[in-house]
Amino acid sequence: MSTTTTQVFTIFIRATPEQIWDAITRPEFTVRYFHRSRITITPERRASLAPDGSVRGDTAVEVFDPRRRLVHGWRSLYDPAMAQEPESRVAWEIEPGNGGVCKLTLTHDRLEGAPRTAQEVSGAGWMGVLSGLKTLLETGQPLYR
Amino acid sequence: MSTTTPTHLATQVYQIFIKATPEQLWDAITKPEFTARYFHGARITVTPDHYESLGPDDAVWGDAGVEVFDPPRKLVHGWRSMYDPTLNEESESRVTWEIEPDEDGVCKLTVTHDRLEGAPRTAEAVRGEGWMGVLSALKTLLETGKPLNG
Repeated sequence: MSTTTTQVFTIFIRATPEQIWDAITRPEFTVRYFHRSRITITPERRASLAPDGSVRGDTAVEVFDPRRRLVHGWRSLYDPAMAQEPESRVAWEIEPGNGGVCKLTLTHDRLEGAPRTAQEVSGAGWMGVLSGLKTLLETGQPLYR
Repeated sequence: MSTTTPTHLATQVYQIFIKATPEQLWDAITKPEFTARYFHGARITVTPDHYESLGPDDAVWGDAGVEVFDPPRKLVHGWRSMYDPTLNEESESRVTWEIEPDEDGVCKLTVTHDRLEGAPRTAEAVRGEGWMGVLSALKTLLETGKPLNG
């Protein structure tokens, strides 16, 4: 089904493109909204570490266009069954709008060979992360303690 | 423009997590003093019998029956896009709001817009950033006390 192998999520955030970019690519921000993962993204690589230092994600970066667009591979290394599935892909797009609000669009695709991952990240999966990102940027506090 | 809605748009589901009580969410969804601040300026009043939406100039933007009115958990009402002449000609669809408490004072809000088979233009208008614009602004209002836009 096209709806599960390509998943698109949109959220509007009162923040600058720079603030959103930093929140996506720097571990001191991601640890406060992305299941406590410390995620570091460079032009070459995306690395995600769990609180205990174990590797949750380790993939290549395809597009690194600061404040606008980021595309990287996705593997769910935090779960043994999902870790066996082939790599999928995540794209983040930041578009400035009116009144200091940006539209953030996240597209998770190439999920044809990763049905468990597709199920896990759908709906509440990605929207939980994006809701936490929005709360952190707009209030300075994490959504969940 | 097709006259039937593509299957994947006939039922649309949107979720967002909001730091608020179920009661605060319920009031924000059903009372005009809240909806005016996040729902395109619409003053929406929902009673056990009726859903009514008025534009800033008092034009009728929505007028439909209420199927389920279960505070502060579930609300189901009809949807007609009366704010647009073309959309207004399409058949009525349906919107369901479900509020589920999560941990740390956070609620999961799920909006399901379905029965869109006979309303392809409405399905296209509300998809993606349509509903997510409304839900993003609702979240900002409840968490910061201020509208997202302006």
